Amino acid sequence: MSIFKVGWFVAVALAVLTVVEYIFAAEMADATARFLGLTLSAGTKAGLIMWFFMHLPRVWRGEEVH
Amino acid sequence: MYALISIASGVASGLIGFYVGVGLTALVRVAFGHSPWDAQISITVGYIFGLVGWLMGIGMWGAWGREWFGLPTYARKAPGWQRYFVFNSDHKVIGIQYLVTFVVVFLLAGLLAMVMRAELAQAGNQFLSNDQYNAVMGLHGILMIAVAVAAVIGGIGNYAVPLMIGAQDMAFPRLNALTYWLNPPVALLLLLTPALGGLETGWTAYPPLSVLTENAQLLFNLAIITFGLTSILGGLNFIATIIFLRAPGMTWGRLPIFVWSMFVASWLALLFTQGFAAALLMVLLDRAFGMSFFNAEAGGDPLLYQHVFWFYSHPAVYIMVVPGFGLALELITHFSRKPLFAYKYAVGGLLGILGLSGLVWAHHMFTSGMPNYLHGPFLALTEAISIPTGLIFLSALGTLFMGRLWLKTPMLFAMAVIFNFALGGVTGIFLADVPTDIHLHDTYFVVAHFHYTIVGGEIFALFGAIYYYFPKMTGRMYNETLGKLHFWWMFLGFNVTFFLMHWPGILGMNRRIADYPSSLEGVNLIISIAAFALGASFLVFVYNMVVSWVRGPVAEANPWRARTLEWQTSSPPPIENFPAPPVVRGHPYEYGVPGAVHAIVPTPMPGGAPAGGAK
Amino acid sequence: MAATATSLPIAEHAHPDPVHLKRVGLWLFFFSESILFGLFLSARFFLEGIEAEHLDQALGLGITIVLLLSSVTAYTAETAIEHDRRGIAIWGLIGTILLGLVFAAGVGVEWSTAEFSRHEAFGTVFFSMTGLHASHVVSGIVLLVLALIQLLRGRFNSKDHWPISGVVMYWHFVDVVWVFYYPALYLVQGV
Ligand SMILES: [Cu+2]
Repeated sequence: MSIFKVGWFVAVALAVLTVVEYIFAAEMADATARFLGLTLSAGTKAGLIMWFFMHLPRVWRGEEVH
Repeated sequence: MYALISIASGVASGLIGFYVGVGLTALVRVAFGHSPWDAQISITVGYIFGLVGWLMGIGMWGAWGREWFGLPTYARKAPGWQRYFVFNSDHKVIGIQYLVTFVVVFLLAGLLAMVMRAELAQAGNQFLSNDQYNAVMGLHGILMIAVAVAAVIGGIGNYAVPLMIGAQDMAFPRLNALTYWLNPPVALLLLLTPALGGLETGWTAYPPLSVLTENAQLLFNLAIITFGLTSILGGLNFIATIIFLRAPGMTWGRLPIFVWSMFVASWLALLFTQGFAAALLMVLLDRAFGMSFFNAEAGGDPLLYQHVFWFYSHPAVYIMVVPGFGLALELITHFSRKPLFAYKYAVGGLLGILGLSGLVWAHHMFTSGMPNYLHGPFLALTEAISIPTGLIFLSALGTLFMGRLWLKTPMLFAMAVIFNFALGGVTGIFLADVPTDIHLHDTYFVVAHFHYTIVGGEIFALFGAIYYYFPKMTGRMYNETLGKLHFWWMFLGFNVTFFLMHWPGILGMNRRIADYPSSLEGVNLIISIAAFALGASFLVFVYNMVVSWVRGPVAEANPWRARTLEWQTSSPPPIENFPAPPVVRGHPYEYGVPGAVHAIVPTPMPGGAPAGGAK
Repeated sequence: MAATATSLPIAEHAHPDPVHLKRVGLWLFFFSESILFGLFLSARFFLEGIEAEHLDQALGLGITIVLLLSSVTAYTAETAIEHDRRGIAIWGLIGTILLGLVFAAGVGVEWSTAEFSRHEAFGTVFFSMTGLHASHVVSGIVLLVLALIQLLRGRFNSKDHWPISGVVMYWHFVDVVWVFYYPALYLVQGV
């Protein structure tokens, strides 16, 4: 169903990032790198959710006509 | 009758909510094998339920809550003075609710200051024990903080901002009403603190004492978290209003300077108030659940509190004083009868304060034992904030220079703001510099300094604005002679009291303590006498306000011949402010500029009052 | 400039789209709330650095995935009602509520099986952060239920669905908070 397509793409991206993040935390021994990597991953996930799920662009673009 | 029903149903459902909350807590606790009552948890849960009950009962249920269940909403309509006692979403009503409430709180907290000065008139304990003195001082502090945060923003801001930008109301009118009606429970809790042992920690509530002390602290925490919520929701509302509801043609470059200052203060409130809430929530968790945020024995750190707390409480002084600057500039330009000098730089100064205020908090912690490497950066950043503040001074002085000063009461207050804050700013330098601060920290020098900035900078602006807007709000004129008498009395009382207070501070007299070395008795006696005089000046104010409101002469729409929009409608304005929005054509402050027009207000007011703009 | 009604242009009051206004208001609220969550997150690093006690990693990963999934169902519900697909919207909301309850239950299990106490520093930050977050999850579930009830009663369509959008945005925000809290509590010390 095409109207949900964006949602599924984001869902897959979030799932992949969550798994990668977990493996990264398990494998990376350097604490600083681990902290930075996790911050980057969390920031990306939060950005995806806010941009696509929470429709952040509507704040400045206004409400779209459906 | 309407007023009575409204308040009574609010109180009744608040009480029911409280007991339901306490009862539910007891049930859950018993189910898990604990005793039914635990003061921290039961009071907290009871308060939350009681707060919701109070709001619903006062009228939020009818006006708003029913909507969440898909039911039609209704509003309690009350005529005349009774509209101030219902869940009313008109910004003009809410502004006056805020003003009257917080002027009363101000007078109450002022009385507490009189009690303190009576005790401090002589060394040794006169009529207060140390605990009682702490309770009086803590209550004075937090009530005045509340006044400073809410009176200008909630009172003058609510009343004037929608009018000044040519809007019909705030962006979220019901949220605005909610914001006001959250305040009475805050006042109730704070006034109950003496019954539960009194505040021992002052308004700053530092742990570990705040974790260990009486349950008055619990009421304080609940009250201030609620108060923080009002501050945040109010800020949110102003930001949305100023961004979205400006009249056609009201560009950012034509925004009255007070609206700019409210915009900046609203962002500060929205962003930083959570710091106070977070700090007090941590204290609450330590108290209620035995957590260890601040218990060094178990790995906590009391310094955490000071960081989180000052992360709010430094920006808070700008939440207080920035609208005061805005009002002072606003009044100075109207009463100097010439354009505001360096408008863009003043706006830049306000934005500069917004940018820097989140980066200076640890200047309150130079003696706290935080790492030494933080001293230099916080010293430098704190000094840097005097640059944007200086721009605002530049604008004020440039406007006054060669102006045709019209020395009405509001103008006197506005000029006093500049005078007082200059003194408060200069003494601030000694507190921002680490070497001098280590000596002056926690002395009466600090007390003198922040009273000069907050009272001298903001409260003077507040009183100026009250006189300025009195004819607009009430439709009547105050007595000018009494207004001037109040000004000079208050100005002299204030300056004698707080200027002298620097001296015992430099000599090391500790703040927050009921006693002091007897060698400081003389100067303290003079300070106390001046403080009583300062206190008495407000009797003139109250008399003038009450009598003028009841039977002062009827005011015109624009007694100050001001050009901004709030004066281009009748006094008091009709419920919709402007029948159609004004069309803004130019800058608001072009006094004496030939042919300049700020705005065109389409229709004359129904009452026949002239609606034309002032040249 | 004496004004008369006829000689002057009559303008419209600024009437921004009310939904847009509410959307911006809600974002401002999130902005403010994120400072509260951020301060608790900072307290975690201030007190404990990246140290952590033993936590059930499988459970942590599990509830994280559940919460992310609930955001997907919430998005589905909102998108569906924007296109008048009521059936999908109803199931989307029901799914979100159920996944939210599973998440809350997961936090409950983690709380009751934790090998550390709330009286010590790590327990303090762990229980307060998850508790603060869980209180938002629970209030989000209540709001979702209120929206669902109205949806079942036949309210909302593609033109009028702000309550659903608002609640769903709140739910996503709660998810965003967890996106930061999860690695800070479970992963940063190394798995
Ligand atoms: Cu400060």
